[in-house]
Amino acid sequence: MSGAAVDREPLRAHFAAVIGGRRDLLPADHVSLVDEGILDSFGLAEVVALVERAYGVKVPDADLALKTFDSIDKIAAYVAARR
Amino acid sequence: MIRPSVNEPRTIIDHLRSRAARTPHALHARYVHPDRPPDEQSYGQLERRTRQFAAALAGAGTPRQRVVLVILQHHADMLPAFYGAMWLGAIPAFLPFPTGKLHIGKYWSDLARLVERTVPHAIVTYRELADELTGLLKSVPTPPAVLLHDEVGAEAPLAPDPPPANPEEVACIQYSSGSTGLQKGAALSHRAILAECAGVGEFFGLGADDHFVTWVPLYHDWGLVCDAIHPLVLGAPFTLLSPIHWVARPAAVLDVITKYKATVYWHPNFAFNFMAKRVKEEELAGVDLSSLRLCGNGAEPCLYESHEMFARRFAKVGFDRRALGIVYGMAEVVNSVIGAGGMRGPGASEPIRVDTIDRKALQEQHKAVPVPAGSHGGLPMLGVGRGFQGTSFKIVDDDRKEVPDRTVGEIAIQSRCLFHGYYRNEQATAERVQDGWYFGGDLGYRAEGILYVTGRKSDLIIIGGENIYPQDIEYMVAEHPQVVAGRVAAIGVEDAELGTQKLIVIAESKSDDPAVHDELVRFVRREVAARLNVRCDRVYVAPHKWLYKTSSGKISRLPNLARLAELEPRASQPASEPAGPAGS
Repeated sequence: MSGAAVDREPLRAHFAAVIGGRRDLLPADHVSLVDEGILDSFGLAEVVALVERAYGVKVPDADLALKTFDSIDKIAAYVAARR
Repeated sequence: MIRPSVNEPRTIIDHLRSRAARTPHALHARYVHPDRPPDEQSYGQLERRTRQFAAALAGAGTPRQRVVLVILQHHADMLPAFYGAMWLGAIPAFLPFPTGKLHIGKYWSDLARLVERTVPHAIVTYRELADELTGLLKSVPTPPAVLLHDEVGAEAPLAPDPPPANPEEVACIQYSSGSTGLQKGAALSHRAILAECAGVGEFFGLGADDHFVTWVPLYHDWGLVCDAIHPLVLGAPFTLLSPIHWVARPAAVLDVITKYKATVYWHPNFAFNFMAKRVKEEELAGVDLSSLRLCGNGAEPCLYESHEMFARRFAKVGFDRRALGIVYGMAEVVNSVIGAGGMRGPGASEPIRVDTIDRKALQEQHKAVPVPAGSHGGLPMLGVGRGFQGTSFKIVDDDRKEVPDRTVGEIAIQSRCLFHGYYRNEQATAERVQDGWYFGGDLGYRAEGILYVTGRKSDLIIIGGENIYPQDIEYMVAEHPQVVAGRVAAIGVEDAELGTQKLIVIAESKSDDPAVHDELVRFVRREVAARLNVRCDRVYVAPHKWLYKTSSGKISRLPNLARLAELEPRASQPASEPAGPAGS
């Protein structure tokens, strides 16, 4: 399932805020946010909350893994698949 | 099988055998998983599995008093592997496992150094790590045996009864985080560990009717001692969630407390804030925290506001604020040797004191001057309590001479729980231990016999209960060719909102090209995440000679923080979301 149809703006806004509002330093959508030091395990709770709030998607406990939410593309694909 | 008398348990293994002999079917541990029913392990199963690991390690020729490293993820084999080494009189040590794909390389270089220093006889680990580990060990002069936990099958042979144990021997080693921390493993005797268990157990009135819950991992000394060894010694069960499960769904721990009517729940200070903020209102449906009689704080500075936030948020689901407790200690005294609060035992009549002091006098004169509660400029300090039985503390100046009450100085501890020393590092031991007193570098003051912790003498950064050594970050950032050598500062800044520190990195650049600066910011975030698994809150690039250093060449924290606004990068657009729990 691709996340092409998912509005990524809330995700980009969130991660830009995480790095001090530097939208210009946000990596491309396919790049690992964990590798870039932008997402860590504490950040996972925020992302889960954001996905649930902004997209109305419920994230079951079994999906709670960093690798599921490791890039904007992956989060969008997750949202598309669960919606 | 004829069992020797274990009436007087003198080692952790004695306790394990005694529980297995007396109550083999009673629950020892429950490992909760997000995607399947929990794994439960009785004392009988714990002993059987421990004997299997002991036999496997013996088969690999593990001698007494040689190190066995245990690198396992959240799994019911974690403790049997650890105790299996102990069964043989070998010295187990838990290490964290690597997380995320990029972290692997850095993780292995740290592990290689640790292996060279401690010369372990064996490493118990899991299948996914096997190939990398075997590759790494090829370059080690005396490579340890590698044992995969799932190769020790359910029908694997059992080790015979353990050899007579000497309670003064080293029982295990505890490492704190970071590559600097990895050079200093605290070697602990059975006697010291059992003394610590007795001290905490007596003070908080803990017993076999308790049920412990935590998500703090067992490779963290707090998780291992307070949530696995204490329950074993007391004969109480414990339920363990994985940290990643908890951090993504903090309410999961509330569900577990409710379901199993847990009585004891320890977590570090930031978790009080995190839980109070992150648990959603609808997740509180059905939650009942009225069974908790000790909700303990430790592993990092305990903050008044964190306790208030937690107690207020969860009062309506039965949380009784009298359950709040505090412990203070470190791996060098096993874990916890000073404390206050809780609802049973002597702790119940020693509730946590709040001492409101003048913030300015603390910062400028290093004095704790009391002011009325709620007054402007007042800083409410939480007392961490009095020494448990067999522990005393004092506050000393730079010459290690005792200072009067309400004067801030270094905290020194004398305890029956004191470690043997740092494993194979006598020099580090000599720096920290003098005449039976341990000087750990924490700062604090004493008032009416109560200890208050104000900060750190060194610049150790503590984020979410994990120790981060600034020099680790400074060295790794300085590897970038555009960074001026020796001109990097990694600083932990207290954040009351988060209830822990956040990390700020300042690096001086040789270049004034904004594109180079942007690349540097990315580099720092990537490297710090890869090496230390921690997120930078802010990364600043400064021109050469921007950082203020003292005459001795040390980076001064406060003057540099005060000038940070000078470096504030132009934001490409305003942030539309508030910063998250681990900073932004």
